[in-house]
Order: sequence, then C-alpha cells, then structure tokens
Amino acid sequence: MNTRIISLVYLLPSLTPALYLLRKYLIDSDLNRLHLSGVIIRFNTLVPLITVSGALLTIYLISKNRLKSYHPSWIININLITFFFYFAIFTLNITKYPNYSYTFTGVPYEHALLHLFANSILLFTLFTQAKFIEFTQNFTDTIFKRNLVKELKKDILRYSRIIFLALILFQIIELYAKIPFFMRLKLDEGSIFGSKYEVVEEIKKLPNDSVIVHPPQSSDWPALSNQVILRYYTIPRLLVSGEISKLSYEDENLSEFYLIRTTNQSNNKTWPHSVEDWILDQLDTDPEAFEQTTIWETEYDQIIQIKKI
Amino acid sequence: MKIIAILLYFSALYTKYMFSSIEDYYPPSFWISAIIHASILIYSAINLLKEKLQNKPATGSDNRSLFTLFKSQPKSIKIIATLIVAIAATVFYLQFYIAYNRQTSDWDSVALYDARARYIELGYKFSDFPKFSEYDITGNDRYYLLHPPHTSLLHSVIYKSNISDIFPTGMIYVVHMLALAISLYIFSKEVYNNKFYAFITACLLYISPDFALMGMTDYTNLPYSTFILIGVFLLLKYMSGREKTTSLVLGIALISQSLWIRAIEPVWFPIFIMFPIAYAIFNKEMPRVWMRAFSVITLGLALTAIDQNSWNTFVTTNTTHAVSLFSISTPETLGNMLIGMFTGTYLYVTTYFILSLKSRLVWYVILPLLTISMIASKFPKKTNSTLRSVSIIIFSLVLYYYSGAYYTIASTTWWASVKDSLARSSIYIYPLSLILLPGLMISLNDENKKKKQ
Repeated sequence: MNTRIISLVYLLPSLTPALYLLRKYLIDSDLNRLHLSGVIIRFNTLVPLITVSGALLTIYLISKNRLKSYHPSWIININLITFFFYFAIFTLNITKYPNYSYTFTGVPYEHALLHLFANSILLFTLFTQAKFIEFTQNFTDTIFKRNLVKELKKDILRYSRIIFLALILFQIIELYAKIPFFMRLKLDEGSIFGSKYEVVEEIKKLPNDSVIVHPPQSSDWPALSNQVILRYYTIPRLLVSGEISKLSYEDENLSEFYLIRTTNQSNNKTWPHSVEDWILDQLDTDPEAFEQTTIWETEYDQIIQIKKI
Repeated sequence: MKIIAILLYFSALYTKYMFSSIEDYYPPSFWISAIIHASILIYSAINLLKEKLQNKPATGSDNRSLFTLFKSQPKSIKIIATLIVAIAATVFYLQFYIAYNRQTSDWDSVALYDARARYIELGYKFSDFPKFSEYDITGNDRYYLLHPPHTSLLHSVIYKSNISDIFPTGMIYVVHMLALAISLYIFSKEVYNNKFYAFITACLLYISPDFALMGMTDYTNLPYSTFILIGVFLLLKYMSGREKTTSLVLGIALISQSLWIRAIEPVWFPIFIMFPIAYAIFNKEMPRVWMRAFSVITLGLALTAIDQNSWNTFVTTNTTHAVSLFSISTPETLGNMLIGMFTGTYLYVTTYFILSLKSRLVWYVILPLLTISMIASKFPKKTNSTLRSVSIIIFSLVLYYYSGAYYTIASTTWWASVKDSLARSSIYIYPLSLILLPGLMISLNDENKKKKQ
C-alpha cells in the first residue's frame, strides 16, 4: 500500500481557511444558500479530528510495516502554511479582543484554537516521523512482551528532553494567551462594575438613608441586579431586590424612594416595563400617593426619584 | 524559610487580634486557639534566635555561585534556563506594575474580600453582615461569612493606615508570591544541594499561568497556598529528621492558620493523616519515624479542630445556617453515590475532572508517577525519601479532589459550574510537583551518561 493515498488526508487542513473565507464572503451574502454555510462549519470542525486520527493511523501502519515509505515533504510545507494562518488569527485575537478575526475572516476564535492544536500535532508527527515510529514500535512491543516498566523507562529516557520542553513551552504559550486579556481587564476596564455604569455614579449622589430598588437578578443586568456587587459602590444605602413584592414601605416610614430603570439598548430590555404598573402590581399601594419628582437621564440608565406624599 | 514562616504567622495572628477588637462576641475556642498560637509564635521565635546566634556552618553544602553552576551546564539547558528566567522576570515586573496601577475589579473581591474591608472601614462589624441580605431575593445571609476574614482584615489595615499609595492592596499578593518563591528556592536547594536547579524551580513558579495571574488578583487562593506549602515544607524537614520541634510546631501552626484564610476545603485532612503514615511506611528503616508521624497527626488534628471550631461557631451564632465539618448526611446523596459506583459514573467524573484541570493534570499525575518509577537510589537517602513523600502528598491531594468532584456530581445540580473554582482551589499542588522536576532531570541525565559510556 502506498503512503501517498493516505497522505491526501493531510491536505484537508489546507482547505479549511479557503472554506471559511468562501462562507464569509460568498455564501452568507446570499440568504438562499444558508444551509451550505452550516455544512461548511460542520465540515471544518470535523477536519482536525479526521486529520489527527489519520496521522496517528499512518504512523501505526508504518510501524507495523504495512506501509512502505514516510510522508512526502511537500505535505509539511502545506501544513506549515495553514499553521501560520491560524497562528496569525490566534495572535490577532489575543492582541485585540476575542473573536476579533471573525469580522473579516469568518473564523471563530474557538475554531482557530482547535485547528491550531490539531495542526501542531500534525507538524510534530511529520517532523519527528522516524523517532515517533520507533517509539510506537517499542510501545506496542512492550505491551506484548509484558516488560512494561523496564521498556517504558527506556522510551521515556530517550524522549525525556522533548517531553519536558513541551511541558514548559505549553505553559509559556498559555501564559502568552492569557496575560494580554488579563492586563486589559485590570488596567483599562478596571472599574467595569463601578464608574462605567453611570447609574452607580448617580446613586452615589443620593442621601445615605435612601432605599434603592434594583432590577431582579438575571443575566440581563449581571452587575446591577447583583446586590453584593452593587453594594460595594453604594454602601450605606439600603438595597431592595425588585423581585420582593411583599415589602411594605408603610412600615419603614420613608418619605422617598428611588427606582433604577435600566435600558439595555442592544436587546431593548427595560426594567420595570412601566413605572405606574410596577408600583401598582408589586407594591400594592395607591398610585396617587406617589409623586414623580425628578428623572435623571444618562446615556444608558435612568433613575427615577418618587416622593411619597 | 523559618523567618518567612514566622512573619506570615505573625500577620495571621495580628488579624486575629484585629478581629477580636472589632467584634463583641467570639466563641471561647477562638481565645484558646489565640493563646496556643501566640505561645507557639514566641517559642519558635526564641528558638530561631538561638539558632541564628549559634550560627552553625552548614556541612557538605555546595558553595559554588549561581553563575559558575550555569556555566557548567550543557548548551541546550543554558538556552532553556535563560528563556525561563527572562519570562519569570517579566512576569515579576508585570505583577508589580499591575499592583500599583489597578483598582479592585475581580468579581469575588468586589463582592466579598475587598468589600468587607471597606465596610469595616465604615464602622460595620462582621456580625452586621448577615443583615445585609434581608431584602435580597437569594436570602443567603451566610454570603459575607463564607470565608474567614484574614485577607479582608489585611486590606483594612492598609486602608486605615493610609498607605495605599506606597503599598497598595495588590502588593499583599505580590509579597505572598515572593515569599512562596523564596521558600521554594530554599527548600529545593536543601533537597538537591544545587543552587542552579533551585533557582530554576523558583522561576518556574512564576511561569505557571495560574500563579502568574493569581499574583495580580485579590483572591484568597494565593495566600492560602503559601501558608499550606510553607507548612508542608517545614513538616517534610521535620519528618526527614533534619530539623527538630521548631519546624514541627511552626509547620502545623501555619497549616492550621490557613483555616483563617479559607475554611471550606479540608485540605489539612490528606496532609495531616495520609502523608505521615505513608512516609513512615515507605521509610521503615529510619529511626523513630513512627514517633514523628504520630506527633504530626495528633498535634495537627488537635490544632485544626480548635481553629475550625472557632470560625464555625462564630458563623452559626450569627447566621441561620448551621456549619458542620462533614455535611454528607442526606441518605439521597449516599444512595446516589452508591448507585453511581455500579453504573459507570467513574468515567463521567473522570472526563469532568480532566476537562477542569486540563494541562495541570500532566504535572499532578505523570510527574509523581515518573519519580516513583525512575528515582531508585539515584540520590542520597534523604533526598530520595523527600521526593517520594512529595509525590505521595500530590497523589493523596489529587485523590481527595477526585472524590470531591465525585461527591459534588452525586449530590448537587450545579456541579458543572464548579470547574473553574476546582482548578483555582487546587493550584498549590503545582509548586509541590515542581520540586520533582529537577530531580527527574538529574537522574535522567545520569542514566544517559551511563549509556553513552
């Protein structure tokens, strides 16, 4: 059996970038061909699995003397090109923001990681074909010889430097991938829960003994609806979850209270949907007893101060 | 290393004193533990002073400098070493830079650790915190008392003394990281008698993504692991017979004081019980090994019981939640666990475990396995036994986390969200596995040389 037939499997990864671009610029623009887009995505995510298993299979077959020759060298070149393509996307995503490359290449960040991982395995097996085949031969032999520990020791000795280097390099790559995101989170968006929300800045202007009713806890307002987060910035003021309807303001002897109304512009979600309805339903009090005095309007949020007569 | 240990220990005792000055009520076991810990501190400080005054010269140690050792290495190791040192230095610089140029922004820190410090500054007490959740839909009044107050009190010390410009709160974590790296250097220098390898292990600590990022985050995991690891190093020294009672007492005290930082994970269980017994079994020929193991077990369990009890009673008196040591009580979860044993839940738990720990698992499982198989009398006896016992500790900790994952999957519905915290709470295993790495490299090099000859 000739190696070149199985080597064709190695061509698949080089197809994937072209398919991503095709999907991005030709197919997605035409709504009638949307089903093709899904097929391409599925095919592209399957490619890493197919190629890695193909590579391991060929090596196993060569080590069993079923195949005659090693992989030809032009396959290495093709795989190197695709490797650098995905590595470029990976670095772009790290230095800019996650999924940055999706806007112009159509490759999701997670897919790029998957391809990068598979391609690095392919390249490793291609570069160290002879040694790798030797290793698998030894490994399969040892299992049948039942001298596992002794033979494994020999194999580990032979490849120890590569294994340890790989361990350390893996850590360095992980560090390289994580630190830029982390730095940006710490330095640029350090006040993500605080001053970026203008509503928090507005709450800070309110008197210390005020009661603040905040949106119900949900993923729509991850920071604003979470009491433990909101309290950090608004501390002496009493926070009340919008879900608690049985709260009676009569007992508290309060003259005024404040509603936070947030507007999530992208999804057009508002809380509460209507101020009058909310007061009627949730608090079960007379709407005429309240007088709306001021509304602060900021870019994203509104605070409504309601005075009780 | 003992000086670092005493300084860390003093910081923990100081925050205990602060806690007692803030609160009106504290359980009696709090006082008992405070008295015991104070006497241990004084005893070990006096003993350390005596040792320093006697100034014994270390026998048989390698006095060559780092640079000459570096020169004698082969070329490939030189290149790798320079790469490692350069990256470690940049990470070290970044930690300093970020500590001085950031605000508190991590979710748990804003919600809990730094928040408590701010509230104490405003005049609240720890016993006031459960009232905050009165109008919260979750109604979880234990939230602010879930973790003991050590790091929060350290933050509040900085806020009170107005030194946050010179020494911002982020520096607490940088200093803990540095203390851990230095003690790792000292310990591995004593194990291998080689400064070069010790320096590389200390640098590898900074290269680990977990530790590099933990040094920039206001979480409790880093101080917790420093306390536990330095305690383990001291106990290892004691068990191998190199050091006497000072290191035993200090090590146990540090590990039990780690309950003042995080109290929900009983990590002391594998350290105090499985490790001394395993050590004694593997080193039967050593004199008085069983005596030492027995003293570690009894003293350790007694101190941790007092410390755990003091915080737990404080929480139970102030909240509606009852805290107990082992909460495996409902028959339903026990049934789930038993049924799971026969229906192949192991596979499920194992994949979950591998996915949550990812590349760390290579360090935690393969390195100790290799050391146990490879290191057979390549080193002097003491080094061999310490390396073997380190791998035993790692194994027992991995087993402990595996069974913990099994328990959470059997008993809860939210187990899928524990992945990150499982990885974060087990980071202190990494430095332990680092100690094995140079030992493996040395023994491998020796065998390669033998083969060539």
